[in-house]
Amino acid sequence: MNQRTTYVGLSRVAISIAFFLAPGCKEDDDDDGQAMGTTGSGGDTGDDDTGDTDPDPPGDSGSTEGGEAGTDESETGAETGVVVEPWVFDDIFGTANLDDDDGSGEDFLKYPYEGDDDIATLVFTAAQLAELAGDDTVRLVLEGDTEVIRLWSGETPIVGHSAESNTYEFSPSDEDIVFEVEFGDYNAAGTLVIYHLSDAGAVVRETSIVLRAAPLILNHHLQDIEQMWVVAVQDTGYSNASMIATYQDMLGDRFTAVPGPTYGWDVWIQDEVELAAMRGENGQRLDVVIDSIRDRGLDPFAEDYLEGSDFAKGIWGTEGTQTSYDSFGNLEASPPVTVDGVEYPFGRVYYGRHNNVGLNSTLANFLITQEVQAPFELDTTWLCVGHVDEFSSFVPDATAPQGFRLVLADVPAGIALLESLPGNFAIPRFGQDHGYATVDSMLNSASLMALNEDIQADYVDVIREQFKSNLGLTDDEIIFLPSLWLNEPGCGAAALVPGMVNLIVAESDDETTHIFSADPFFRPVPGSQDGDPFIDAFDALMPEGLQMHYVDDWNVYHMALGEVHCGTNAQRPPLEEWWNVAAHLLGGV
Amino acid sequence: MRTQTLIVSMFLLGTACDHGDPDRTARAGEVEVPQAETAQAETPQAAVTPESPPSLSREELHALQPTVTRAGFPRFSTAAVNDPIVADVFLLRLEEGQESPEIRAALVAALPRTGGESATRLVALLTSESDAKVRVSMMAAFERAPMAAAHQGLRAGLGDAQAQVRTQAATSFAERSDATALLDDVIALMADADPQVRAAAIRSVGLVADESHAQDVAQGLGDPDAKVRLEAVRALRRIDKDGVAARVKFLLTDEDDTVRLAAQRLQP
Repeated sequence: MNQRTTYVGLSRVAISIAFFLAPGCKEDDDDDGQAMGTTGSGGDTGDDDTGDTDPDPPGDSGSTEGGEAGTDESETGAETGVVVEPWVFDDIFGTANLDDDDGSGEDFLKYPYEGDDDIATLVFTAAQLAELAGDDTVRLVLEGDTEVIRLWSGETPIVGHSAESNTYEFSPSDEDIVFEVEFGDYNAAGTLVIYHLSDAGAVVRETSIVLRAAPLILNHHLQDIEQMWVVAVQDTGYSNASMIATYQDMLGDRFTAVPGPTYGWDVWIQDEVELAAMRGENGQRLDVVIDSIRDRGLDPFAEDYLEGSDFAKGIWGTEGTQTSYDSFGNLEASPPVTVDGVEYPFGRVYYGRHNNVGLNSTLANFLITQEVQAPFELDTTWLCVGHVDEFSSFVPDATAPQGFRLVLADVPAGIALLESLPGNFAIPRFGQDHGYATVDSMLNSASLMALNEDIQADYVDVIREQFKSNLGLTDDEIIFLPSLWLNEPGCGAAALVPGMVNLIVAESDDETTHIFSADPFFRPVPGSQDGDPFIDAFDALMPEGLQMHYVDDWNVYHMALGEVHCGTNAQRPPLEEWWNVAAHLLGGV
Repeated sequence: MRTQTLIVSMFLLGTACDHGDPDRTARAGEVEVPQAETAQAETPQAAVTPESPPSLSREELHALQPTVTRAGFPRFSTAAVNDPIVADVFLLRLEEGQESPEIRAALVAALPRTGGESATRLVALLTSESDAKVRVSMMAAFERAPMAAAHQGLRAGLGDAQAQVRTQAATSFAERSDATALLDDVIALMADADPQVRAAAIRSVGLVADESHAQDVAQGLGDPDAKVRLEAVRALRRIDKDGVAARVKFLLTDEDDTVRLAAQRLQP
């Protein structure tokens, strides 16, 4: 049964009224400022007028329906002071009906139909209705986000969106009366006040329930993977076949290679879509693809592979105004965290935006309204591409206080690693493509060292502190991954050593956790990973029990300013019941 | 700037073999490997294994198109460009003048990766190049070019009409070990009308010059542009270690948080 008092800030407190119908009770109320008695677990919050036994309730549109038959005031015990049992209904936690279950357009724009699995129900049971006297009625008043919530009676919207008013009254029958409850937006919140009215229109009892659509919850790095996609490209000197083969070996049917030629050889699948999900209390699951306004070759991917039944699509931002910050390597979510005693069971969203430069404000503001993942901003304006996944990620670690460690690109660790190597340590890949043929050629470049020192001091150190304060982390919970940056002419910073922080975590069917990261090729013999100091450092820094895969992303991704994570996207199952675990983060209605 | 990606068509796959000539001239990256004797003695290194680039014919290289980087501009990221022959073909494409500015910029950016000689012909192309982004790419290519051509090209870039070209020229200048020959030209740009140019010039002076230029650099601390002020703080940190804290103290209340924090970190 509904225990709304546990949802502080989420639900109006259940009102249990022992209503004395004797004439003059209104005056009594006015005299002492209280209802004439309450029973049950609820109680007036003091600032909520639903606790009043208002004989002229909100939305009262006239007299009650029905005739004179049945109980009257005296029969309901008004004169004898008989206590009427409180009327209690469950709150309704659903999903926004924004998908297309029958292939004919967005479901919220249609009448309810068989097969639409994103509609909840509110049932007045015959037993409940039998408690009403013969001419008593029930009045429903919808408050809150009435433009995106509605109740249906058959194919008639009775309150809320597209209904004639937000008040509806009906007479009981001897059968269950079922209303369908539908939401048209994420995190839509309303209150349905339910009045039991006497035939004279007096309130016999009153209660209210919360109607709430799931907030849009972004998936985070460490959730299981149900399906993974990489855009497959292969041509002379330009192929990600080995990376794809690695994924396929580990994930089997859960991996799909998307044909590159179909999508204009746009390999940046992380950037085109961000995957999120909603859950409803009756087992509803609605996946959501946030379709970026970046609109490059992969623009049709969301429609081709994702959108449809149980998969909604949303676009936030104005197409044609996109910047690189609107790509979704610049929009990530942390694993679950507790920060200063506040639990974020779905983690926290973060994205690159600084002084109003970054992820477009339409999407940023929308994410803030979803509340449960409390977004925070990081400065990515110093980067050429400008994405948060260029310097940060997460890996699971059961020994860590919060079950994970933040992986952060770190220049001092990178320089220390270089200084631990002989100066003539040959790195032919870097000589060939970046102009640094040995370790010394890097260390002796004043401009390269200065660039890296400045980036660390002026940006990454600041970002580290922001991660710590916003995710409740200490330095011990951070893996400082050796990293080095270069200056991309006319653009900004980019990874010099392939960005190993730009990684993917995935669990295989045998429950082994795999880490897929870029092969750094920081070695004399590119063909063998043996003796690569960046691989050795990565192995040493990662938590126990993870299976590493260093995949060749050099030509397809690294030389084009991205790495493994940039070229991968994944669908993940929704997490816990937000209405139970995240109610403390949701504002009231 | 959306370039249609058109990798050399898939029929090439069957011929995309890794059969480089083992006797051919080593690429630039390989011949520059310093092999310090002491270091070698202390830390035996595995033999450097040159990677032979996948071979494309001149015709194929002439038709080769770039892919699009994550940042949105085209680039030849294929390993097929790691071949000196590519320099000649790409320069030819530039000289023919048939490519779009975006492709020309990508062709220029690929030249240093080819290991082939290109600087002299680039200098010649610079004089006729009409698009600023291509000239920016040329300035970057001069970072590791032979001195004479590089200085000629960079000097032209430092005086370019477009601010973005001057900015990149000032940046590329500091990448060269022989940079001091152009130092006066760069110092002059610290008073440029464009803040990006001023910032780049101040940064490069801070990398190349010494304490004698600290007063000139310090002028940038009062610049109306935050990026210039930040680069001035950074430059003084390098060339005026003892005096920088006092010089930047007034920036502790700077309106820009990056500048303010940079100044704070320098305080004792």
